[in-house]
Amino acid sequence: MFGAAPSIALATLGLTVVKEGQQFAATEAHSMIVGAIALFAYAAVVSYVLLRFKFSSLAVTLLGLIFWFAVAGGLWYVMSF
Amino acid sequence: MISVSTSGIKRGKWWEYVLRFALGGVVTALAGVLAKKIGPGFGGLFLAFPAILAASSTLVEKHERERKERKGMHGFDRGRHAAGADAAGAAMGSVGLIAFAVFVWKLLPGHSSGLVIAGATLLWIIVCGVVWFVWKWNPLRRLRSNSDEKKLREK
Repeated sequence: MFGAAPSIALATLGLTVVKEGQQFAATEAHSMIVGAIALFAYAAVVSYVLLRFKFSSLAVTLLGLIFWFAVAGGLWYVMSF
Repeated sequence: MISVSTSGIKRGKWWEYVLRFALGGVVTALAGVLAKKIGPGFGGLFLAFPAILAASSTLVEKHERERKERKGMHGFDRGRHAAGADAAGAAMGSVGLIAFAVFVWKLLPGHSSGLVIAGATLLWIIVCGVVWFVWKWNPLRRLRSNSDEKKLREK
């Protein structure tokens, strides 16, 4: 579960609140929801592929990042309308 | 029973921890730069970028494979399955991350930043615990096995 710990979010939000203010950080947190949904999809797909097929985790996790970008980018684009 | 084991920490080499730390730092910096250049709406996506998961899955696979190989066995499948389980855990953790993000988005404006971020972190821990417990208890499987037992008794 700690592979999805909010460590990056804690550091970034803390710095953003100090430099840009609370509203800016809250907007980042709003987009983070989309990123977290994409992370759920990424982790689920990586787990499925690793448990059922004989690929190395390096290849699957790296190629899976394309999937994360696609899901996050697609959802963000839809949300921006 | 739930217990804590620190043997995993001793197994890791120092550069593996530095790698995870560095990846996290790079993504943090990237999120900040993108937020400034393109806007917080885009930069915020990278607050949930799977940099740490990608690094940890490969390291978990390596450690498990080496453990098996030290006992004279082929460790590729074991390593792969361990990495898959690690990713499944991260999928559960990401549900907590969604709750974290919603909490910060809704409560940060107008409230103490420290308290909101601390509260969001606590919420992540609680939601992760609930999701893990539900997965472990697996009510659907219990209902199915109870109904199978009932059918067998009726025969």
